[in-house]
Amino acid sequence: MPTTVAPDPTRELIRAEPRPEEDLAEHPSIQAVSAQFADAIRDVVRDAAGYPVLWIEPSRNHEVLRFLRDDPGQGFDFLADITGVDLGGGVPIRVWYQLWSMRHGRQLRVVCEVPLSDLTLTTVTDLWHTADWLERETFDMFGVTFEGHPDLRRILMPENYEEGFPLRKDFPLRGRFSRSEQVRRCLSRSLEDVYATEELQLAGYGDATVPLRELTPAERPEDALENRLEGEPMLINMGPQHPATHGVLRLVLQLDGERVMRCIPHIGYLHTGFEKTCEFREWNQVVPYTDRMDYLAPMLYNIAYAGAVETLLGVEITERCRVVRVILCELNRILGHLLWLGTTAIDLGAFTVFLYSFKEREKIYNLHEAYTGGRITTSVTRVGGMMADLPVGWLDACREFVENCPSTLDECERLLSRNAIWMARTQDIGIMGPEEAVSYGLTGPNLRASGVPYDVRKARPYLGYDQYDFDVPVGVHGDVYDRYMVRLEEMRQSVRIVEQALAHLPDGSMNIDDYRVVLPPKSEAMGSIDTMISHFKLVMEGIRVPAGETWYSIEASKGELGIGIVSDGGTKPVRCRFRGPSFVNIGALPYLVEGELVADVIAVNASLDVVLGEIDR
Amino acid sequence: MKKLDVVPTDSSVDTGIPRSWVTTRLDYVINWARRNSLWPMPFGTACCAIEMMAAAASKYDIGRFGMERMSFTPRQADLMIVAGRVTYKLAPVMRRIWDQMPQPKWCVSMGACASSGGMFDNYTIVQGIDTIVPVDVYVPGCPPRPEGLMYGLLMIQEKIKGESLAHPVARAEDPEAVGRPNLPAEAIELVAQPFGNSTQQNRVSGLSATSAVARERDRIERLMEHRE
Amino acid sequence: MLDPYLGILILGVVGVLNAVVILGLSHLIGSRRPTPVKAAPYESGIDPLGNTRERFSVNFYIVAMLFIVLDIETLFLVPWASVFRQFGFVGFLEVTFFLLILGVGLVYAWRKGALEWD
Repeated sequence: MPTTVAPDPTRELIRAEPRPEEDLAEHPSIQAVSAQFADAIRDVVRDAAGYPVLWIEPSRNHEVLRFLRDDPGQGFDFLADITGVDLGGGVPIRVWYQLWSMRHGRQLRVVCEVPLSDLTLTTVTDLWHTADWLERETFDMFGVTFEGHPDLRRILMPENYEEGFPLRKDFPLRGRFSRSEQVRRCLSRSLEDVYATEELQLAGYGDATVPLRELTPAERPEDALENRLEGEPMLINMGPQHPATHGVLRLVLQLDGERVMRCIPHIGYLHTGFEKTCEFREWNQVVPYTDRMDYLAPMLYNIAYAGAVETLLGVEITERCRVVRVILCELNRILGHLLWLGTTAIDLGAFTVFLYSFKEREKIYNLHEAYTGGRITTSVTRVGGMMADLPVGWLDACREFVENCPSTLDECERLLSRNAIWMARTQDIGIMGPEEAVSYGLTGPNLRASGVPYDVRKARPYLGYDQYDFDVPVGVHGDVYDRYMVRLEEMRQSVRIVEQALAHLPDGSMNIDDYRVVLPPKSEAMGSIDTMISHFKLVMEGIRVPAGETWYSIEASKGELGIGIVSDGGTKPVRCRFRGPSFVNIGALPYLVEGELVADVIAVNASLDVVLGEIDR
Repeated sequence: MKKLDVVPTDSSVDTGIPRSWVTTRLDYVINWARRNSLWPMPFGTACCAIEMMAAAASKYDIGRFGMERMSFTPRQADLMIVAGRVTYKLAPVMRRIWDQMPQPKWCVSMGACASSGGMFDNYTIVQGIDTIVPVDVYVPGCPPRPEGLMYGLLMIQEKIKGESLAHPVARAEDPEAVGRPNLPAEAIELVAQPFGNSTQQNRVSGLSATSAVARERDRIERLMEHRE
Repeated sequence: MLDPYLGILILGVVGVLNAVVILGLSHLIGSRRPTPVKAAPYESGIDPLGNTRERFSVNFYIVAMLFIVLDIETLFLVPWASVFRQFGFVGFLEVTFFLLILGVGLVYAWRKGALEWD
């Protein structure tokens, strides 16, 4: 039976609570933490986006975070991000914990300053499952050790990486070894460098059978487990070069026949060092890098990054720019979902849908190319506006696209939704309940299919999304089929938003008037000395963003995309953090897949809609 | 830049078959068959892989050239298309797959990142896959359009036209060279050195290179010059 | 009188020729440059871990057996389908009987749970 994904009036969308008070001391979470842990607080500041940032003693991080999660008045059940910020010069490394409360609609950041002489923190993996991979990444990039972490090893860099911790300021951009040495080392790897200790033990290289980690599903009975252990299960690699892993993802599977006993994902095969490289680029030079992370829906990243920098700058973009950004966001959401539809269908055997969805994507590529010159790598935004105004005829082409898109979606749905094979392969596969989904940090259609009505466009509206009339599909069962239905319906809702935006597109200038941020027109630059100086400074140095930090998020096609920016008032970011939703989503894969068949691994992996550029960054 | 002082590896092998009109006719037939039924192995990693998929889809359709049957196992592949950036973590995988492909085999480096490291001159990206595997055709672009990739594939077909049974250009595969880099260390240093914009990317923020930046509250107010 | 058998002979000869020509051409014009890595098992480019000579799950055997039986059944149906008009109703009954016997076996396997993985 197909699941209904119509908006359920009994399930209210999660929205941010209104914050009338101006003084941070009156914020309920700050008050509660001050009452309980007054000696643990070092400072309370305000993020550029408006919510409070709590600086606490690093030794007390676990207590405070546990209180924030468990106290009914706080209820911060969703950990969006853990990352580090290194300012260099021997200054302590800051570790950010970005929190969101689904219950109260409240946002908060907790920051611990950890001295370089004692780079340790207590792990919070017992509080949120998301923390598992996020702490591993912070360890990999900064060298912060999390005591109590079940498996603290490198995640993005190779297991035996010897050059150091890349995101530290004393780590050179090109690495510590020469290029030929790096090539020589990468080609002389042994088994220990490629497999984790647990995998070596499972294959019989180390000790005998090791007890499985607590993250495996609890419903597997103990006696069957022992039977399987006697049957010498097989350990195989799925990926990194594989047609169905949607990129260079490597899964080490321990198989009992066709059933997966243990799944250990290895990522980092596409780790491009975006965050490090962006520290050496001017604010506008970062925009082309944002295309290459989620290359399936690039404008969402462009727009998110520009929005984050504009938040720090404190500028308000023009109304025309805002509406155009909404149009591009929704077109890119359709672009990303169409690729997901095509590749998921082809993974499960439906080749025709792949051809239909790619044909539809070509139309959006034409729109991209007409506007920016690039099909995939668009780099459409600049801080304070866009790269150019819309070309003549673009709006008509866009209108034509949104008129024809629903018929393609209907055709794909006719092929799949009531198809017995499709239903058999997707229903009741990879079920994720709502509490687990929030604890594993899932966002986007994955979270909504599990029944949690959280969409950043509705919860913390940006770009004027509260003025558009659209529904957010929420699923019931949390299986692969629900994720499929949610994404299909989301595409239809995106068409709806684009139609409204096209109807209300105002005239006016696309970029803001401030010539300290946006290049002035040549005529003015040649005319007035003031404007010429602004032009000169912008070209030679780039814009200067006032000192500050922010963590800004939007609803990207894969989930909640977070952009963390730290500026010291200069022309280049001090830290550029990209919280790709797929990184957190794929961390839930072992939980979803252990106990299922190999064919279901493909279906679940496809349904999570991951893009490796965003996972590995 | 110093001229590359490396002797190109002589990759042709003398099979001892004398060239005559029979063998040239045979060459023609064999090359025709080989180039029109290439089975590519798509080693796609990032954005270029999406353009490769678009080239395989219905609008650009490399099936016209016989290449619609993508082989994901190296055993049945003739052509490895490396589409996208390759990290040092992924490099041994790429080299192993190249080694496991049977002769005859060719390699296309698709995109700027595969050809030279692209816009990523940093600690993790291989600065050109030709340091690791021998490359026949480089397709520039970031990403190249599907037509660009097809032009590169047609160049491979031209290259195959020039092969002969007597002197196959098929890689003279030395069992000792398996798993080793394609270029010697000096050549790697030469091709991977910074050039163009990469030479400008050593400065961090203009205000503070690596100096400490305090929190907002106790930071010196840095007002922008013209702000009121 | 010989015509139907002539067709089968030609079919047999063409089939054998096809295989011989393909294999022979590959042997003659194909390159042969074996290396130890080429002979190693392919596992998505990673060094394989673990022994390939381990015991396989018995469920694979059951699935394979069921497949063979049903495949041969299909193989028998195909020639009948090309001449079913000649055999008329009697032939139809015989084939139905044949299908019923195998159907009983399939239902038995189904109820015993052989179609589910473990």
